[in-house]
Amino acid sequence: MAAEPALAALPARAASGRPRVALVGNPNTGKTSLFNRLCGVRAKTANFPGTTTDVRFGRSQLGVEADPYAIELIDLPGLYRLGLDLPESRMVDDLLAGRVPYQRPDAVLVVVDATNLVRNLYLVGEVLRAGLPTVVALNMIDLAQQRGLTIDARRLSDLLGCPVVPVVARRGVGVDPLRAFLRRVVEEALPPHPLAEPPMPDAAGELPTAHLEEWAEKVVAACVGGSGALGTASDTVVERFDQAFTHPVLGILIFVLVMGGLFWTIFAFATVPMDLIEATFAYLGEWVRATLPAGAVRDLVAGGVLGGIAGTVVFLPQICLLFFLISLLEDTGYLARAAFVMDRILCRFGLPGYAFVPLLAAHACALPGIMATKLIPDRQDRLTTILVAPFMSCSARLPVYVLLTTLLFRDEPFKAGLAFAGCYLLGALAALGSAAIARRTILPGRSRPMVLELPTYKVPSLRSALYVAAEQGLSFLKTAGTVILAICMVMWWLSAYPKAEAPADAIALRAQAAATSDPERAAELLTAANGAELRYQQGQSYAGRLGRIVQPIFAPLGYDWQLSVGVITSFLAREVFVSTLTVLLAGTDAGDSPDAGVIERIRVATRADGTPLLTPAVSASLLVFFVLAMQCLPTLVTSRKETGSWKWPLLQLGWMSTLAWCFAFLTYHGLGLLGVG
Amino acid sequence: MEPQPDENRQGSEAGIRLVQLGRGDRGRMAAAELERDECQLLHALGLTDRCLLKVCKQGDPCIVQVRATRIGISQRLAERILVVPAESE
Repeated sequence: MAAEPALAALPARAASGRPRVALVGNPNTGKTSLFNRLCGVRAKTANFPGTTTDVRFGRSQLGVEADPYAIELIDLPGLYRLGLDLPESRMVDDLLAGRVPYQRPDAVLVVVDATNLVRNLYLVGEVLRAGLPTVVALNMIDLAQQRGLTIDARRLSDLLGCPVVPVVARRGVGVDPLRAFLRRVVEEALPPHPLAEPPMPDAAGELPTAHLEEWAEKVVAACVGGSGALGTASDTVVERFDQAFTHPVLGILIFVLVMGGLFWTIFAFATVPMDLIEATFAYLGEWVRATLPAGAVRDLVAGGVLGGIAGTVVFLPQICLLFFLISLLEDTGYLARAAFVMDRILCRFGLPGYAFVPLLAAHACALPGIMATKLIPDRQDRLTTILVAPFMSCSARLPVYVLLTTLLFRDEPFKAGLAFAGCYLLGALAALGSAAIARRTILPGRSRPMVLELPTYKVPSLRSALYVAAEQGLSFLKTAGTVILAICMVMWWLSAYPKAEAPADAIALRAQAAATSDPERAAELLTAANGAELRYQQGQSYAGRLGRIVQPIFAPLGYDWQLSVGVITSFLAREVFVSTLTVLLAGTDAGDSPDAGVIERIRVATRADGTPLLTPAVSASLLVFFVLAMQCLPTLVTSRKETGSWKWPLLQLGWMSTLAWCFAFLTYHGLGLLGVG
Repeated sequence: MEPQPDENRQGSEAGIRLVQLGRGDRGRMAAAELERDECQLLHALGLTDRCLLKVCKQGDPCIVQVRATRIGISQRLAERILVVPAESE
């Protein structure tokens, strides 16, 4: 197994010299809130060795200014037991046991939910068996008290043989005493000495949950007052919410409203920062062009570097906002209920209910959609969702949809609207169909039936949501600033070089411009000359040559070399298709009327033989192609990052391109047979 | 892979399916005709052999409460969980 250096290579006391403490706990115990309290923003995220599970590392200061003492805290994935046959359980079990490739941590901090002590103690019992210095954080002690539970933390500490500290992580209550206990345990390397000995595994190494339950019940009976019996926590308000949120009809309506609100918020609020980013990069581009001497370096910086960064970073506001809102929703407890609503529909296609957030997010942009698959616990389910998420019609497809539906249905807004909606439907159906095929072939099996703890409804933590948004944003920028930027620069170079001499028609137009005394006419002629030069340059560039080479592949779909160049260059990003066509067609017949809009210029464009470039059949074929094709390099890079292998993005590329080609072919020739030329 | 019995199924009383209990009814876990990993997950969530549970909602999902934990179970799974009604408890 290939080991991620972040964890595997870290010796117990790493180069930093700081002791390492593993933070473990059941899901929904407030583990991440406590991590944020202890580490603040000084956290970084890395993949776990051999997996794509994210683990957060943070430095926590346990001392005071006069006597500093820092530790490295590792926020491990939430798990119910070490002994389960689940990736997260195996991972944490291996880490605590110090099995290769992991180094044993110096201590363990276990977070338990004070309102649900018996169930949480299963994990504590297993951790104590590991023999590492341990501290138990008794979180949500305020909620337990509200429910009439009185927990004798000192008695519990004696029984478990390690410090037990009551805390309220969301409000920071009890965090200072926790730091002090943690420091003492780590410094003195105090192993636990429980009075209530946790059960031992049997000869086969198995530890039945029933044994742990029996032990946990005895511990709780000895230190918890009030009543923890069944039914005391039942709450009619909670039950009513659950009834509504998981109702077959009402649940879907609420889901549509909540998700509609979420995506409206993203589109409404992300526009301003996105415009700002675009304007800033446009300004920087102009500044570079005005400052640097003309030449390859200026073109590279302005077109390749700044253009590449701008094209990717522009999605940052959407990504941050999406994760901020998802974190808020998750915190409220609603997402767990919504997952069940969608599970009924998605499970028929081999997708889990958890997939709905990534698939919806992919409508804004496939990148955050793929990143949001972290919510899905099962790897097969997660891979299936990643594979099909790019089928969802993202915002980058919108310019192409607008252009082609307008070309297809000029002055027929109703039909154009239907075609537009049809694109979204086709994408969603392709995603569901592809998922069903994947689950019958390369990722065999059904989606895991959902069993999920339904967390308590809570007021969401703004602080945690901000941390999540910042972390995901930084992670995205890291990818954008390295791999994506490098590939963008290569693609830019391919479309900008080699530089061609000005073509004859451009020279003639410039001569006419110089000769005319009408300044308006001169400006028009110069614009036409620039367009002709750009078009010629595109045609002569490596990308243009590539377009001519690959044109035979696209000829059965009705595309000439110009459209083939558009398709090839839009591999960088789909929206590039419109700008490429605009550039390529700038000096065509429509050049006679340079004031004509982009759509009009493209509509009247012709091929070399004088026939229309975009007939209805070609437009429809292109539309289908862009709905289904994987025309997005950053998405492939993100898929590679999230799956940990190039195998899956390459499969994605191959499958989506093949499907797009076949359906575009059927559309083109089907319309031809129907007499639609 | 064949469905595996609950690790503690031996000796458990014959019961009815969880989906047959009504809302508000209580029961004790008897057995689960599930895959091993599914069984393990149910146990880890607190749905252990003979544990007392209360049905909060029937349908898909079936929502049960065990001690202070509310657990949503997809109907596909709930149909394969056997319980013994515990009316008097």
